[in-house]
Amino acid sequence: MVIDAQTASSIAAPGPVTTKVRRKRTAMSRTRGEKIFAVVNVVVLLLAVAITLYPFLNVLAQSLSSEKYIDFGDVTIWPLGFNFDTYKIVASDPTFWINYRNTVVYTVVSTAVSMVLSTMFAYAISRKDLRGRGFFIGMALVTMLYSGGLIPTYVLVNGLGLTNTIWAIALPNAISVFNVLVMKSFFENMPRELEEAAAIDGLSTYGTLLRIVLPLSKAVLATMVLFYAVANWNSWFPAFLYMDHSNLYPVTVYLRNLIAGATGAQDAGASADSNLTQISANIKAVTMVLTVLPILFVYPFIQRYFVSGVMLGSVKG
Amino acid sequence: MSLKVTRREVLAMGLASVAVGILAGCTSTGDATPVVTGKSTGMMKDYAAGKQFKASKPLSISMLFQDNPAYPYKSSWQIFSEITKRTNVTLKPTVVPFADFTDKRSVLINSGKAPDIIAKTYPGQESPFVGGGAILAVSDYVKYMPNFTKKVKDWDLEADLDTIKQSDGKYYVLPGLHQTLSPDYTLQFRDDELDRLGLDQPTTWNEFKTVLKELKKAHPDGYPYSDRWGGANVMNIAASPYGTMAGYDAATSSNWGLNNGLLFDWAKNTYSFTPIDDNYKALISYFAGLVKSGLMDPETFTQTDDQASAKFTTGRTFAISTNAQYLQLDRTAMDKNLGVGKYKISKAPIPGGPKGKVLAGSRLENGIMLSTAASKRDDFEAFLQFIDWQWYSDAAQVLVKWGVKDETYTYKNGKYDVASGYKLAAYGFGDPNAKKDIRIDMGYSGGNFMYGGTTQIVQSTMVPEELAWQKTLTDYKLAKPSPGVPYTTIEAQQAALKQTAIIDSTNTWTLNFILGKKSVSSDWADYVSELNGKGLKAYVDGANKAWSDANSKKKG
Repeated sequence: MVIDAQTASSIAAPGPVTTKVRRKRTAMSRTRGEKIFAVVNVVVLLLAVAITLYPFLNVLAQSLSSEKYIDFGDVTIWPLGFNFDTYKIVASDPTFWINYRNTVVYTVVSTAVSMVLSTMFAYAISRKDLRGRGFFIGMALVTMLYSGGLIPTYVLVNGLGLTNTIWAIALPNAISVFNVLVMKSFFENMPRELEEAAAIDGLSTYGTLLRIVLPLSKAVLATMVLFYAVANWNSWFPAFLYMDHSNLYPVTVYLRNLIAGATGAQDAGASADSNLTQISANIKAVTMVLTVLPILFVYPFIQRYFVSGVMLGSVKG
Repeated sequence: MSLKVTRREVLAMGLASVAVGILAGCTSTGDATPVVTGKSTGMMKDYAAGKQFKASKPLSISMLFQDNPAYPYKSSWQIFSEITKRTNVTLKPTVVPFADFTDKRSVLINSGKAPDIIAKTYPGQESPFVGGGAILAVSDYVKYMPNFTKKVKDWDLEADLDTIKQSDGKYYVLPGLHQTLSPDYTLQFRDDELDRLGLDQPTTWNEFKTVLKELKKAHPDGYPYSDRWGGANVMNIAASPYGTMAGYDAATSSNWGLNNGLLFDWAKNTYSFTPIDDNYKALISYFAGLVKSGLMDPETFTQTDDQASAKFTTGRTFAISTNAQYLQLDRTAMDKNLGVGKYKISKAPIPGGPKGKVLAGSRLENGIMLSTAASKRDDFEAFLQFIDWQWYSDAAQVLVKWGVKDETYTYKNGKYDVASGYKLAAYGFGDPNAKKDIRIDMGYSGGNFMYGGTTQIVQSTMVPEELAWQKTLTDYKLAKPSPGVPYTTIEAQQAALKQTAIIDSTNTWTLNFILGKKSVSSDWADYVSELNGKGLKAYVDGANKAWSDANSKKKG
């Protein structure tokens, strides 16, 4: 979790800090400015750490507390009335684990599909000699501005026979145009001579991509895997839309139903039996912790590629 | 033979295929008269009210099923096999999570993929789908539904059904029918604290204020009253005795009693926009007074239900809105938080107001819609018979609530109870340590099947305490519900645009008045003029025009 906060702050902080420093530098001596920068930097970063870390620690503490203390509002970042039973209760619900397995499968498959398609697309449109390049880039950009709309998309996916299959989740949003553009910029900056040399040595286009370009693109690939994997892990809407059985849902839908479902009273005044039941606060907390943990552990492994990967793509675009 | 095709030929072929398409389209439309003949596969020839329905051939019917996190759907539930055993019908549920049920329902209906039965539809929610034609005008077919028609006639529900008719004079949702109105929502107090201070549960809104003042005196820090449901319930139940309509939960965007703001005057036969009248003003002033004198927690309108419950169940506040289920949930929480026997809570009477003791409410509950596609089934008549038996026969209503006699429940001296070894924890029946909950483990007493019924069946899940509370309601006047505006499709779209803006504005101002950000005495004119600027007059006139048009059509 510490790592998560660092990552978050390293993304969040640079903007305001650098502008502040620039302003200071004109007015004061450089060394003094640098000192102030360091102080401001540390304060801002610590603040960012606190803001991102507190809710997480609070949920973690709630998940280990007994409900009584949560109701009293006493739980902050330390568990009160330590209790591990809630974990046992949540873990004993078979639906939770079925949905959890679904999330893992959907994430892995969707990310793999997305990576293959995005890489090939990005590589193709990064080649300046591609005929109709402008058209293909334009086609991708149009989807950032306009979409088919919810119901036509549903009709299409359903008409293709994809509903209630993993492909309804993996295919419709397989290519994120933003990610493709980042990858495109990265590929464009790769020395053209490398590929020319490969061609002279007899490599085909695919050979060049697989043996030359991709091995040199680990940073951007790792970053894209992370982007796609996190997005897929957290995604719930496509599954909610295209899946008709609770044993096909990912754990995010399970979690959403638990949290939003129990509080979303609708027109309850008219009904004699509202069918609403409170789900206790610590069950919600436990489910949240269990849902978020695995994807959190992905960050440390990819983090070293993370910053350089994004920078490479965006700055030189 | 040359395979070359000229441009002109391509054009001609294209035009021809378009023409064929149009002609084909023409032949398939115009099938408006409700015909059931020839769709009699599986039907029961001698089906009648009170008779057990059993299809003569096995049927399979799809159903949109709302999955409640409190009792998650299981395909192994006994309720499904029991229905099949009795009716020869297999239900195929499309399971949709509770949280976003309305969204998925809308997508499925609008994309033409709706299951045959669409459960959990509140009267009014069907309106957006009427124009599209995907939902069956079910009123055309109720003649095939003997249990439904009998209940409507015996319980005198025709006028109630009029409130859900669309501009074509038909209704598109089959609502749950109640023999008697049985309100559930009211206030609850820390009765032990009232006893200690020598106070009684209030019976009017003035007494409510007095009780809160006394509680505040005894506990000067904090607020004696903080409410759940965004304060919408208390506004709703107070609105009737004040002669108006109110209640909107901003936190969950759910409507409780404000509806479209149009109150119908049965004497004058016209609609008026009640949030700008004196009754509404008096209601708002009352709640603004509670907030101003520190009796009501201003967070009521923004906090989550969990936060409100936590304040009450940990003893920080002393009054809160409730219903029978929440009373039990709060007791469970308070047993844990405060200790068993260290508190006393119960449902208080619904307070009366300037217009006396008045209850509003309809005897129609939420119900089911049927997909138009179902009317094309060759077993459509059997389908209607099944719907009639499953949702409107007494036998089925007992089945979906209690299960199988002498297996899951017992019935002695007019009283229902779970059989030994079973429990129905949500309503406090059976041994809490029993292994099987007939709701969670077997699917009975769930929201997708239970809509209304006879007073006896509705009250069968009520504990004695709740029955006693229901008895206190007998001397209340019933406010006749305002009928739905019979807009045509185009009128409905125009009205919806205005309504959204007007109701949003009303809610914002109402909140500002209550929280004291605006003053009821000095800012009221600004509020009314803002609403007028949003087309209030056209909105009300449009509703009245729709009403008179629809009525002249009926007479003509």
